[in-house]
Amino acid sequence: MLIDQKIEKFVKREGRRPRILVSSMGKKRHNQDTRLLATLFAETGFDVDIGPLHQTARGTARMAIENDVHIICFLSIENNHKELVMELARALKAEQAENIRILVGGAIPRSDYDFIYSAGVDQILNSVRIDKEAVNRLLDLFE
Amino acid sequence: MQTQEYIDGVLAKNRRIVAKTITLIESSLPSHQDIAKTIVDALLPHTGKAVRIGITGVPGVGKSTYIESFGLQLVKQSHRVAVLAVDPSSSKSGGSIMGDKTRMERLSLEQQAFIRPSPSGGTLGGVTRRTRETMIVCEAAGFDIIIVETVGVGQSETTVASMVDFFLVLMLAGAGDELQGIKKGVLELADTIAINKADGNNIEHARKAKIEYEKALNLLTPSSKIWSPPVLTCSAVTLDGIDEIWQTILDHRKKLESSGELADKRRKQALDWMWALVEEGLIDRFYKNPGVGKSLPNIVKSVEKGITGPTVAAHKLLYLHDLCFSESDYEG
Repeated sequence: MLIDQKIEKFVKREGRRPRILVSSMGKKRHNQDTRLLATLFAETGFDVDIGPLHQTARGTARMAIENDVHIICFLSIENNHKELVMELARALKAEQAENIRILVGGAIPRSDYDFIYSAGVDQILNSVRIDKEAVNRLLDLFE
Repeated sequence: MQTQEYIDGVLAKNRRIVAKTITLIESSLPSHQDIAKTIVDALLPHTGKAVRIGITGVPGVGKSTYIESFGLQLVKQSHRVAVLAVDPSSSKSGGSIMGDKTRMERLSLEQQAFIRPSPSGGTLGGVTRRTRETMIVCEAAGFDIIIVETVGVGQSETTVASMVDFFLVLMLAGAGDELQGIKKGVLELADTIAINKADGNNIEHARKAKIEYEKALNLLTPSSKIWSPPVLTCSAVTLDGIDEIWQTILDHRKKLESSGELADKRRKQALDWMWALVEEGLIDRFYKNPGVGKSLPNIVKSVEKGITGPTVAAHKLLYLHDLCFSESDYEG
């Protein structure tokens, strides 16, 4: 199925577009990649929330709950994705919001995949960009 | 979740349930809207006391940064602040980018604050119903100050002005062309104009702009007998003037309350709300009407090709709507 059709189906079922929070966690500035990612999602038909820079895992969870997003997406820039994923999953669980999906992008070594999948991540992007195929797989999570 | 759980959750100030209730209100599914209606109805008796503030300004005027500073100050005075922001959706992809919170870094972490950006969703007027009902939910959840932020382009400021008690218009000081590009309509709606970014080298410009706006406002007939909109300057960075604006809002409120204008305003808001719902309902029924639905694509094509004139086509569509009226409107 094409992305457009999947989104249309999603809207018919949920009453709104898929909503995603693109969060910038960590100390470094990676505004460019985050903004590009947000734009790509919006162009695909998502409603996109952008979090403030240097957001903490708890801050991200709270914003995700307040804005009632379906997905949280963040990029691993400082090779601290393991800690971030665990903190985020814990923060979501504390607020009974573990049904929010997590998408992680960036240079993540294959050897970490098992760990972060079992920590609660639903999908891993192999880069800081997202392509049609990845969006398609992301939407499949909600089928 | 059951309807009662939503109602109880909102009244218990549960952040997640407040958020979920807003989602129901914004949903396009009729089943969600039915539940939302019941919830809003049940919450209405718990509302009416909050200060409702509308804030508008052109993109780049610094609305979000202003709300961050303003909101933090209110939180410090133990107020509970809800910020509702409407972001325009792209008409091409339907998606939207909501980046207000990037500039409300500290406020978004405050326990006493709730910030919810909403996509406009491209539905005509849809913003009206949803924002009003969302305001009700926030008030019922104990937020005593509701800020509605809107982009100062198009129709949205008129809509928002009709649902708040105080309408603040943020402006920038330019280099002598202050009054260019401002719609008279926006000035008429304003309860206060604030020249933002009055800091550093810009203070002198802001002062000049203030005088220009005061002159412009003098030419307008004030919409209220007891209030003439002041022009203030402020800076969301140095925090100069932020408190003065809050004092102005309180002063405005006091005057409105004692003169009975607030009660009048609330009555007028209720009527505006009703008419907005009627208009939305009519548009909705038109598009859902089976008679219209069947012929719409052909009529649109025929107008595009120049075979049918726009007036004839519009007349025909409305006629088709009236024909199928009973079927479509009473089935549910």
